[in-house]
Amino acid sequence: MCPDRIREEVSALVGSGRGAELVEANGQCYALIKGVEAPSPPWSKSGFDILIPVPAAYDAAELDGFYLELPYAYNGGEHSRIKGDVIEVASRKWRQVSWHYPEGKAWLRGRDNLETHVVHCRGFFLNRGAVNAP
Amino acid sequence: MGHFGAENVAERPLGHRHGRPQVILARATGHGFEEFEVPSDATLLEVMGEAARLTGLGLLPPGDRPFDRLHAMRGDDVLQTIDELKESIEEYLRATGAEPRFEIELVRAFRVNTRWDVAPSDRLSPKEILALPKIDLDYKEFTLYLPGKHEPLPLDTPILIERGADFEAQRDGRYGWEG
Repeated sequence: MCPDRIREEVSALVGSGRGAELVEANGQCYALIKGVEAPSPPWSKSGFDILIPVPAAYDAAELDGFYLELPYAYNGGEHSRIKGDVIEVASRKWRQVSWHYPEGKAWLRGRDNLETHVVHCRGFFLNRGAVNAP
Repeated sequence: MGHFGAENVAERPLGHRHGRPQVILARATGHGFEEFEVPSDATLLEVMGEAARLTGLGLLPPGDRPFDRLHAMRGDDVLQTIDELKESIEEYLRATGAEPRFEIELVRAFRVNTRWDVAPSDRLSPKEILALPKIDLDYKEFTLYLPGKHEPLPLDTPILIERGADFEAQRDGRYGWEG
């Protein structure tokens, strides 16, 4: 069961023109964000769907990281930070991306939400706003 | 004369409307008048959207609550802003006795991520942009970028804000060690 708060935030995203929906698999709620823009090259296409795990206690509990739709290619091969677990959700395969908030700048309820997290995730594709090397 | 169609900015097809035709004369600020017909039960928002569309513009932000403003006109005089845009043109004309003549004031609306606001001047620094009431993102936490660009916009350097401009505010990220 997806938390009410994330339902409201997905509706707001859709209202702003971003393709998004909630999906559930094995008791876990995910926000599926469609067509997050990526520069191509080096990415194999110009937009990827991503899957953001939503904790049951959202938004007291934070969003962190995301899964990338498979297949993908980066510079013709794999990205060094896309080597996490592979899951199957909504009849598709997704791989966990190692992209988080920096130490000392953790998620803050009321300041961060799904909208800001999607832009944070988009930064991964652009290699921007990273406090350490990929 | 233009005809009110399904592609109007208000995005509400009027194909099933049965109101009698009402001729409208409207212009966007700095543009010429457009004359067109709408069904008499069309809302003022739909009238506004159609006038903008015929001028080759879109209302901003898109949707039911544009920041652009609709003004009544009497002859060449631009009058007060009309706030109640859900009212039908028929009701409005009957209640006010006004002419079916309008001006759309186009504002410098722009967005950061999905948040729209109106720039109070044509040049603002990223710090000022992030502090605008409807943007409301802490400049200590968020960095402003042009869409798709890698380089951050310098925090205190004013940049040109055009109507419809698009920016992205992003919080820093950290690659995990497990990769």
